[in-house]
Amino acid sequence: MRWWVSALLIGCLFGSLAAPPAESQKPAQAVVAIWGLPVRVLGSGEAVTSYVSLLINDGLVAVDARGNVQGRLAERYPVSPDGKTYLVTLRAAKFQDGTPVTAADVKASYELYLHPKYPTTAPALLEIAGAKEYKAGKAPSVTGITVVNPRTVRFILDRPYPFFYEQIATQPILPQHALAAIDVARLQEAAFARQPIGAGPYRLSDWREKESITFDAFGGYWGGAPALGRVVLKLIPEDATVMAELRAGNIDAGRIIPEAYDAFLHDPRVTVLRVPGDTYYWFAPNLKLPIFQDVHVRQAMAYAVNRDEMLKALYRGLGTAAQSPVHPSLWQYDKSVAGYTYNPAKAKQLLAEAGWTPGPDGVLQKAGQPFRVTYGFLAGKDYQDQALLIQQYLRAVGIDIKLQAIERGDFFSRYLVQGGPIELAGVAWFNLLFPVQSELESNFKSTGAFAQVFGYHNPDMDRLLDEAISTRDSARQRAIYAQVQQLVIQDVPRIMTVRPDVIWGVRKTVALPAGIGSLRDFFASLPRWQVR
Amino acid sequence: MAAYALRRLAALVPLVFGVTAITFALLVLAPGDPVTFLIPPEQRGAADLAAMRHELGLDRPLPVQYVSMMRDLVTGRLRSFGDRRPTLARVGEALPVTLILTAASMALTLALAIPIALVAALRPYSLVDHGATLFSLLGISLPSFWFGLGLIYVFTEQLAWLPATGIRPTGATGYNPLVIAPYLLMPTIVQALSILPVMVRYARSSLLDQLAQEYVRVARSKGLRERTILRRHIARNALVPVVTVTALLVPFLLSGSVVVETTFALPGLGQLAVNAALARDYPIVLTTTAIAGVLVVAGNLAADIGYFYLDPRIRDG
Amino acid sequence: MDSRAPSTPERQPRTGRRGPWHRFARNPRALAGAALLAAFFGVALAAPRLAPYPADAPHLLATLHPPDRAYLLGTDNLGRDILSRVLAASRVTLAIGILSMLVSLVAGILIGALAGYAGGQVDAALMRLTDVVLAVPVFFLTVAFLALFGPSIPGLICIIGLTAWPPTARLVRAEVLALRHRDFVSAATAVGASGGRIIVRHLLPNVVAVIAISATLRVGLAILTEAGLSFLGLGVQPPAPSWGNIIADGRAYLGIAWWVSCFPGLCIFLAVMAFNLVGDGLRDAFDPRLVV
Repeated sequence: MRWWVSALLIGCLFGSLAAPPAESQKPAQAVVAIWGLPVRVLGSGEAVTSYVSLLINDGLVAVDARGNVQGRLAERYPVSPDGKTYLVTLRAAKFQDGTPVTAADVKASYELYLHPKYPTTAPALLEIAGAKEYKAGKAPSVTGITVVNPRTVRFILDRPYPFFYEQIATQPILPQHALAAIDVARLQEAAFARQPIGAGPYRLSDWREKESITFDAFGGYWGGAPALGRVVLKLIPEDATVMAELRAGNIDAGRIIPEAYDAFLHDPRVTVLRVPGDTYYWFAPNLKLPIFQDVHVRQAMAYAVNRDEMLKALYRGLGTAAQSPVHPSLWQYDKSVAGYTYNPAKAKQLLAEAGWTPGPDGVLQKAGQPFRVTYGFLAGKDYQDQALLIQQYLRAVGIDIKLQAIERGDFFSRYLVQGGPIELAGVAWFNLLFPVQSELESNFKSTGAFAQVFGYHNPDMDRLLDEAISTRDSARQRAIYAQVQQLVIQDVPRIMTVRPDVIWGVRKTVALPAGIGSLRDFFASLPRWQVR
Repeated sequence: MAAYALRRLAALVPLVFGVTAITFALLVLAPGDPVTFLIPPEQRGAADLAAMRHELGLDRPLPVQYVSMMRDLVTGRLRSFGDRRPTLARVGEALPVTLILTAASMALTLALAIPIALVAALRPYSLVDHGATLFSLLGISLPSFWFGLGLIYVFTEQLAWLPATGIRPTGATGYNPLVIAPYLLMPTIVQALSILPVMVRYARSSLLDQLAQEYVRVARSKGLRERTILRRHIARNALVPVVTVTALLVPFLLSGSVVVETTFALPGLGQLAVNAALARDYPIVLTTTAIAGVLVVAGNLAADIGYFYLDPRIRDG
Repeated sequence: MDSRAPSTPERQPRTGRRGPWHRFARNPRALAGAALLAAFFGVALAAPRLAPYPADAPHLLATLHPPDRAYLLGTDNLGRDILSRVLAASRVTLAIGILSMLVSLVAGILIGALAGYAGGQVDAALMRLTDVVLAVPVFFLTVAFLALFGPSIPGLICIIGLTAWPPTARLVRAEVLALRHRDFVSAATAVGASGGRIIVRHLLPNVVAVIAISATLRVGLAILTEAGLSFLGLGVQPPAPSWGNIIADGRAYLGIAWWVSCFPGLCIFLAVMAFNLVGDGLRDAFDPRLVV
């Protein structure tokens, strides 16, 4: 046993290999660090999946950063005067396997999303005539979708629904011949879920578990081949590591924490891109508890929070106070919402009006009961840090909250179901994942899943949200959405705190296109990146 | 020997069942419903949870679930809750990374431990000995992720010498040693230093034992050069058990891989196991623990067999 | 990982005729370790008096403040004083280390003594269980447990302790088996001493040294385990501070504000080092051939 020989060999091996990493970057390639990779690209609604879908898929139409509709696979898409019939004419487009996009593909795609066994059917799709019967398994096909000719497809709705384009026509169109081979009951096991074929600018060419996903430019893309030939999404879970790799030039783009913003601004090798975040943070009381049923109490909590200080302390001031549940980049967002500014005196006054009096230990009490509740939040540094500040703010007005970090799985499975043990829950929400109307409905309409979790119901809110889909006049819609946002502020079903900016560092070797206004835009802009 | 190895391998079966039974008990006792992890909260309203539960077989009685999971595991039909791919395929993708990291860490540990132990054993209780022991303790006394991030800060962020994440450059495939070595260097150092003191201690006491043997005195009295004695006699006898004991460190390295793989974004078994536990992907959790158990037992077996073949006294006696 | 050459219960001291404690006292490394440990425990006991600020009080005007006169070790991203947090954390971390060690000792001694003394089927069953627990890379099991049941300090102490008992159990069982048939045990049985009494009075004192050594090393290991778990978000949950979670919280600022994670890192480093030095010293003093 010549141990020293092996030792020497090992030593040499490591010695000789400690050379700098091989520069294997080809000219038109961008490696983008990402915090998580999708599990699959079909039948999943994760945010990351939606970004991947932007690269490989295309829909009939798309919604731009402001929320306006643009034609994509659909060249023309006129609506009938009664608002129920949409005649969609397809442009000459190809799937990544070379087959043309036809009306039959459109129908097959929608029948997949409406299939009785499809796990996550978007509620708006049920507006299509015959969709409910098909979803219930009572009809062989969706009567409201008709193939007129290979280039034309007709959609008929049950009622005049104004968000056909935003909510229905944005679904990815997939090739019928591939879908035919899928057993929808076992959708997730289908090879297609991991080797998708779409009509988008990139073809998914390589998928490595817990490592990376590679996309290659699709030359036959109807909008022209992307300028950036290859995109690699590389999984890097650690913030510090992302920034180290960015500085070393081992990746082309990665997220930067606010604390490092200034340092990267001075880095000549990196462009810093700052956009309004897609997520906003909030905490919500369980309105089924008597303690929170008085709106004064909820308003008091909203006044007690110092949003500017939170932003400054936790995000170096990079972000905005969240006052509306609508993303500020969208046309539905009401710029005039004032919301709540920090006013502890007002908070105390409101609490006093609600009958709460200071107790011996500074905690408010009413009928001998102290104002003490548990604040459960998603375990994680962001939530944790915010919770600590919120605890201070509420303590200053006499409300004592006990913090409880709840692990992600537990939080979603126990807390965010009806009848979960919530008193106060702190969480963050993605905004641009779903169209505004369906997001508002699920959060604030009395039939919405999350409105029910927190026990929020207000007939005025229900009426407004119904009115929004009863008109096709966009000025009227804008006015209704403004009222909805005002009502959310007045009713305080949730106390919105901050909307931190998203900060990306991109190597100077990349020329970014203009007009990136959100995280979603950032991913959508990838085809237009120019790599020097 | 072959019969012995077979017996040991046969003992693996109840052991794997024991390990998976403990894990399964943990899984089903835990609060929370795995199905709810599969759908983002924003979409919860639209999903049919009962149907998903049925599809995953979670609506069956627990013993049935366990038996059918184990049967599927053995036949390779068990699928991840998350991406619905066979768990053995997922583990198969992750295993090479962990095995390579483990082997490289063992090699580096041996390469460091043996010289250190030799220096220490030749002058026991001297300043050199104390220094060598202290040095060997450095690595084990640091939290590995912090040590790893420190290395990344210096060698990636400041010097840009080494890549900090992944196992290979984007676009590369396979595990060509020349290609992956720069990616493995930092994680290997972190892992190796975490077992170094155990190796040094073992090698040192083994060497001390040999140095005290009669034959050393005889050799010295015959006028053999010290270096010859060391190389021909002592090293040979003392280091056989040292080499084989590395195999016993497998569980330790596997445990360490959980944190090290997360730090360096390596797509290995440890990262797979943690993410599966956090996402309640029961089939993956079961498969990774079963495979890890097999690796540990295989390590023990390798140590025994290695000892048998390397030590002439056992082999010939 | 504990394994040792089979040995007779009364070991011959390797060097000299003096006792093991004398050898311990002459080992500078062990003494340095013991002194460090004493210092750590002293500081932990006095922590509330030494801390300049409450451990979880944010100073939002001084976030990520570098060390200076007001904040001797700087502040974290919420402006909390690192010194105060490290002091408060010393209690939490050392308590987790020691309590989890005690849990593993109690479990290991009970199981080992029972297996060794009862023998037969009980022994066989308990040893199979030991094999199973030894075959799981314990960190996998620990992570799974904490991820599924949610991290809590009692949970941490139990799971770290309960995955660490097999080596102790094996040691104790081996000692008990070796001693079982010796004269003084037979004599004790003859005069009517009960099984439990025999174990406590006669058998355990013989294994105290071995147990003490592995226990000391185990505390260091438990501290590192907690740190690793904090990194995965499964350790002591903030705002309760532990050295591990202060480092984990500050790890993103390594290149921006080194002080956040460096000082608690240094504490872990020195404390684990001290436990290792003392453990090694004890081992050298009692039985240099023992490999734990």
